[in-house]
Amino acid sequence: MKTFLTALGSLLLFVLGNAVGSVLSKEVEGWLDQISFAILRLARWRLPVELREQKHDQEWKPELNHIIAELKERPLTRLRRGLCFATGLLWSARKIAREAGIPTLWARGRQAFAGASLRMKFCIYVASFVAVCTLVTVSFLLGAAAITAHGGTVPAFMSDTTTNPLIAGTTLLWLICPQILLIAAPISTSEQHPQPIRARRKAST
Amino acid sequence: MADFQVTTTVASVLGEFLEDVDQPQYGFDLMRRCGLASGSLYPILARLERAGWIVGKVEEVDPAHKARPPRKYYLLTGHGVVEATRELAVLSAKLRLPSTLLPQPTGEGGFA
Repeated sequence: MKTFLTALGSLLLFVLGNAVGSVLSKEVEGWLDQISFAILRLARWRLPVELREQKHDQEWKPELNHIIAELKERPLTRLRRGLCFATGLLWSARKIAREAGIPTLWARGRQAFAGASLRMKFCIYVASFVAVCTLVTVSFLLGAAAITAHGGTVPAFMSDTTTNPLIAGTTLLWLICPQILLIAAPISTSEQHPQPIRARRKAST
Repeated sequence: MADFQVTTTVASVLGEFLEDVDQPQYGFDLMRRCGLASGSLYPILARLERAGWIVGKVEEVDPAHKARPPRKYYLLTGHGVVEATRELAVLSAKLRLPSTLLPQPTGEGGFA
């Protein structure tokens, strides 16, 4: 009787184990297919807004569906082909947008910068340099404050403005740069900035 | 004359289109036949579509019946057929073996 019950229990466990394993493997297969779709959604995000529906929703996603449907019985091949398809599009999404004649935001920014005057470019470079120096200085000071708050000893170079060339330099830049930017800023003409109302009324009469 | 350079990769895609002008060409099938990755093929398709050589259409199928969304396919336009044929002929002439390297007939039915 004991042997019979043991055998029955083992059989039940075997059957249940197989059933659970089969269900789990199907669940994992389904999740694996979703990885390719997730990468494709990232590729969609890299496209300009005007192209997302046309390229991703109408072209790429149905194609990926077809790839996955074609290889129902081969999950590893399906995963490999899906990943290759989606990753290739993620990599070349911006190029596709360029070829379709719709520049991405980044490309538009680069075009605007390339077309800007020399003075404007100089202003942008100076402002970027000041921003980076400020960021580093603030990080240093925050680090010093954190160390002090935990009762540690802050190295002099981190907080002493007289010995830290970065902090001193950044302070100097903050004093000088507004002057540089004002000198280098594009000159506005009278057409860009209209005259005050009184002057306009006087001119019209 | 094309607004873009017709490379050998573009030529292989155009060749597939010219094999059967009326046959709709799907992206994944073109990838397999031309041996191209999706990142190489789809920029080419975008370039050809923008130049007006191919036109993209969505197939008219019932998604519920087919259990999948309708796919997009491409067809060569009339202008595309003319331009593609011309460009492939030009590329073929450029890639032709020089006459000095061509095997010469020996006169006995063989080649030297």
